[in-house]
Amino acid sequence: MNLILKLKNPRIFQIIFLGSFLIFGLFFLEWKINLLVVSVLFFTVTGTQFLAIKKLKLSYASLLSAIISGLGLLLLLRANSIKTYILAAIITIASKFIIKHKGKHIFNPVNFGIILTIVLTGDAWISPGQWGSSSLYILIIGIFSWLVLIEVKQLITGIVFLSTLFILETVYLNLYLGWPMDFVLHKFTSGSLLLFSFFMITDPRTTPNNSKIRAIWSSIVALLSFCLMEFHYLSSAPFWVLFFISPLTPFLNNINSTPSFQWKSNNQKSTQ
Amino acid sequence: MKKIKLLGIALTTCTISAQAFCGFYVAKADGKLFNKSSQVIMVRNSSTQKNTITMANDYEGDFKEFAMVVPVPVVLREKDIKVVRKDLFERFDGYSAPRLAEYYDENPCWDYRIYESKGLSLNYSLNDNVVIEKNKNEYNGVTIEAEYEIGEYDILILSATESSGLKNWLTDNGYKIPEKANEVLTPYIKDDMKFFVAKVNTKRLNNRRGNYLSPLQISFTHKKFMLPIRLGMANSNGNQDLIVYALTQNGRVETSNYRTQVMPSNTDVPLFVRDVFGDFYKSVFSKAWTNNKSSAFVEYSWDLDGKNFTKCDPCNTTPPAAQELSNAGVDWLRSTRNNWGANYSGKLHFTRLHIRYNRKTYPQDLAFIETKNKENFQCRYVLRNPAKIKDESCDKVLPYYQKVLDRRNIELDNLEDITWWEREWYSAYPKKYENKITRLKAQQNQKEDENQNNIVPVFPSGTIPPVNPVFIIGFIAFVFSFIRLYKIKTSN
Repeated sequence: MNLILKLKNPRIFQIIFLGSFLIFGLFFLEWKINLLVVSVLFFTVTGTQFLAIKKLKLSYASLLSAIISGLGLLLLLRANSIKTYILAAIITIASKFIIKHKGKHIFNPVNFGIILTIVLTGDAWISPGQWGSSSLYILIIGIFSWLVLIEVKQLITGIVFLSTLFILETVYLNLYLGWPMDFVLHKFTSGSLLLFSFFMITDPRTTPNNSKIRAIWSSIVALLSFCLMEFHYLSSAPFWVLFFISPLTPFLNNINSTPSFQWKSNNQKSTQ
Repeated sequence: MKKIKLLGIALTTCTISAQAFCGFYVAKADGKLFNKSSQVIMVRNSSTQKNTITMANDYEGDFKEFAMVVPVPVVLREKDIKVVRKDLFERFDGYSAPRLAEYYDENPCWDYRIYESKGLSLNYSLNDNVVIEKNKNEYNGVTIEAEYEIGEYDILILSATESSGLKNWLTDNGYKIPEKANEVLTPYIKDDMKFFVAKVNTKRLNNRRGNYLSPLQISFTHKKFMLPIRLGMANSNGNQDLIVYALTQNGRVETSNYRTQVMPSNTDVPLFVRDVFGDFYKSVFSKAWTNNKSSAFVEYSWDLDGKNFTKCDPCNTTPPAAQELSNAGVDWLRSTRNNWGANYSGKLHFTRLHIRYNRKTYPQDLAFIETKNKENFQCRYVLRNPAKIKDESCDKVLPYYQKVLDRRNIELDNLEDITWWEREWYSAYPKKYENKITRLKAQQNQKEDENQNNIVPVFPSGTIPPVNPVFIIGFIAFVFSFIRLYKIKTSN
């Protein structure tokens, strides 16, 4: 436990959790990725990040966030060609350095990488059904440990998003349409939705700084996702909503001037 | 009392009373491959969002008593409803069914070559009849949106505002709706779904050749890419099998609200599987399903682009032709002259999904997404026939037998791995080659013994190679000393 407290860098835990999800998917869920894709993608994300470190004279600790982005891509994005994965990796990392406003990312890098790759290549897709309900328990365990280990304050965005979505789905599907509750609950067994809620929308570097605005912001994401999922039958709706709503963050930050979030680390403060 | 038999088709909605359904099938333990199974062809044009759904109709009872109810998202026009030829399903099934590929070993004393034989195709037998007794009821008003006569069917498109009204209408018109159907009808009605109701018109049926019911095909343009399976299990606790042939432009079709996984494939299996392939595959599917009860299983997925030359490998049957695809509702291909093994050009992907659903593991209707995944997949099991060797004198025979024995053990391991069958049941299968090896070894030992009895070799055969240089040196010494002796003799 002492060691855990000493490490104090939540990004290491994030890598452990996402990494174990990836290993589970690779070896138990037979995902359409292989070790070659995994190694090429890690090579590309760390390589791109390394170039940026050299060029912008950043701390090497930022390589951790590149690895997290790589894991995010591997967990969510699927493609036929390995070139598509390389492109996605480059877009993801480059977006962190290119698309910025007052030192904050505008887009969540993984979200930006996924959406842009899908739109640009026509070779990539999101498989919402790749997890299955049996892997739900593993995901929940991972997410709970994640909740325990990092400051809950940061995760409030994800919790607000998920509970708003849950209320909307229950009201519409159960109370209005009349489907039984297991119909509603089945929607929340989607691994992609849980990953989105706890590892993507919670990203403190791309959400509004003020906690109240952040809560409203995430419930708007939930509302829009709900509309797209229920009335336009878009299963990967939250990813698209986050992509299109992200450019609003700088405006929301102008309303309130809470200082932007910095990852806490024992040795040094990184900037990316 | 008049009996009404209803088709429990994939989209079936209707009229299935659980007890009747299960009891009926449990009693009827015939050799059909997957009981309670349905087949559906789904064509989705992603650019126009046009869906064409064709439902197989293997109803075998009295045709007068056939009826079917399917929820649809829009009011269908007359031109949106068709009957198609029955053999379309046989063609698609034959083309995409799990297959056996057979290879023959050559005699090990010759060059080793492989021959591939034609795969065996599975014919899924569908048997979805349900016997339900009619129960007269009073009914409330329900709007009949449209009424058509298509092929041998009388078709109605109904809309309703209350599930009780719809239920009463259906019951009064001879469709027995189970008590629990309300739970499902209400959400469909509130979601503004219409109800497609088909009954057989015996007069028109008699004017037509052939003693079968034609598959019904419906087309509509809607964002929804799904199959309503919930009505079919309104009151049923049993499992139902559904085979979906999905034809799309860009790539493999997956279920978006359930996990989609591929079946075990490309596995070497014992030769006796050939005679029981149907049972074997049933067991493979049952095991895969037991481990992942809410998964959809990919049995076939192939890029049928007009330019893709390899449209199957090995082919069970010839790949679908332009006319058949067009009959199924594929409207984006251009007919061409025979080119790259196809008479069409354009993008096309063929996915075959096998889904075994019940109320508990499938709480939602099936929603699909079309991915960009163009990877080809087939359910293929491999038989490797050993060579028939008459003359066992060649020294490659014993290692070959050993290889066959090892292979047979692996095949049994695979069998145990992917089916419920246990390897102990088939110990005779590797035993045959164990015996051959023992016999051959005994023969060889006997020969060696015989050789030893007849002549005493100067150098035992096994030790010749290292002795060779000694022998040569000895021979040279012998010759040399002989010459020396000769010289001594002559000089004297």
